[in-house]
Amino acid sequence: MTEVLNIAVLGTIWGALYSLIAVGFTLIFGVAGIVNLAHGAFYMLGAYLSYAFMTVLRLPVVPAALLAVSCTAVVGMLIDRFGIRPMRERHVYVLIITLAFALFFQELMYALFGPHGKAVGSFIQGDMAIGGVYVSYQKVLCFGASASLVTLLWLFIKKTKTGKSISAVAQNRQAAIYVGIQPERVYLLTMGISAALAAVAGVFIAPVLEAVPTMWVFPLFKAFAVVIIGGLGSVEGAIIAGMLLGYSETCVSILISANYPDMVYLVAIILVLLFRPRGLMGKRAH
Amino acid sequence: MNLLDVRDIKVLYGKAIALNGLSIRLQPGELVGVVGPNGAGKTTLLRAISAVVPVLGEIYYDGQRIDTKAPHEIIRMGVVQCPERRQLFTEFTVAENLEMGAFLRKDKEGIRRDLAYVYALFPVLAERRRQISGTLSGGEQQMLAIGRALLSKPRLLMMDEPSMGLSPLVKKHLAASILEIWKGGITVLLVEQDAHLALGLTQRTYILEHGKVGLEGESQRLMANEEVKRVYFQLT
Repeated sequence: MTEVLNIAVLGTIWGALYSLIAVGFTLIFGVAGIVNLAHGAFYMLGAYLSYAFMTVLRLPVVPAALLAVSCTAVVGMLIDRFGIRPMRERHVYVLIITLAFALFFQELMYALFGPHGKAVGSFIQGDMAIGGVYVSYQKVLCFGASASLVTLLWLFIKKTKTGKSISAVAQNRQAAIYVGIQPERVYLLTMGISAALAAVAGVFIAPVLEAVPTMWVFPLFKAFAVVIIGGLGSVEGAIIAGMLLGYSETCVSILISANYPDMVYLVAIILVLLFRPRGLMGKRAH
Repeated sequence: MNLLDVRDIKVLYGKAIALNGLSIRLQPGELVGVVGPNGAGKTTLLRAISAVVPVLGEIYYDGQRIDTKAPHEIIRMGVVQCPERRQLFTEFTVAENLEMGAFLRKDKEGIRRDLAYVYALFPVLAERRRQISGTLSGGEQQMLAIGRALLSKPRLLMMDEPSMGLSPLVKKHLAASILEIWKGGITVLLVEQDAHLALGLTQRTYILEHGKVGLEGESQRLMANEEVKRVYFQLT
């Protein structure tokens, strides 16, 4: 019984975090066709910047976090405007340039903060018991932020005019131009949103996992897995697959061994690619 | 004054010449056709006016030069295209597609009025407003594409092969709708591969050949022209 509760609670927390990381990744792919290998770097920037704003600028945790997320969004938009836009149609170029940015930020963090993990201050100290399972407030907060931001993003895309213009470009770029939408603006906005969401994940999880210069790899792999399982470009798919991955990893970790959870997403990727290549919610091959 | 004045434009796709010194003019309130064989440059002409391809030469709309403007600026001026192959947002509902047509507009009252107009013009769209547009029939999709263009508030509506893939009965219905839109005060430039439909509907027609105007004149006269008859009607 304890195991079930543990899986339910921890699985929900991790699942929501995976969804948060993956929605931005799938969004920019669905809209602009960009496989953004720098997505994990945005997560890393969120963590390091909030650390830097707290320790160097001595800002309180909330302003530090907000500033970190905003700065990362701006970095994302700058990368789109000056790194990707000139060569947007060339997919291999986009892969290489985004990987280059990821490695650049890794080296930059290494140079600025050293190779060792930086403990980032929590938003809130202490633990709480959920049905007998003890969870840190930080993780609960992380879940709250993930769940509400993913919901907000979904509402934004489905309900607002600007959000619908993002969806319109994803569906048919030519048609979008003929109704007066400017795709380049939509790409810029989407990249900003995508980077901001990844940064939020980094900000909230940094106190749990600490900040290290190689931390961008893990969310990138998780985002890949979630997006392949959920269906390329599908926001709903990313949410569902993120939650599924959270639960199944926690399952394996608690019931089998804490050494194996990473096997889960690798096996899941292989199974999905073999038996349902378009993913759970994928629509069509591009 | 001309509403649209396309002056000696050239469009190149790489080394291929799509338009080679093409000129057309439209007066306000006209209903004008553009016909010609595949590859003559019909679609490219509309793409040039909408500024989605680079153009050499000059295009004027309502006295202002527009070939230097961006697509959304041209739409805002009232030059709206209903593109080839409908180009709907196939995952959106009928209502959402129409809503996107009004993307650049802020006049809520006007949008509501135009929406009511479109639903009156095409009642089937009103019935299916909650339906995903990708599941509509070909004729309904074409109505939706035209409706969406109407919600952009055109003064000049350019339609690219609206009859493509439609049955004769649906084509007839479509032709009636185009006439009604035109009678509502919108200048119409109709590009068609179905020369019969275009010549029967329009006042004047340009016949394109190899990227320029081969023949032009009153549609009735062109229909009686031996050369036109031979090329466009004997063979079909």
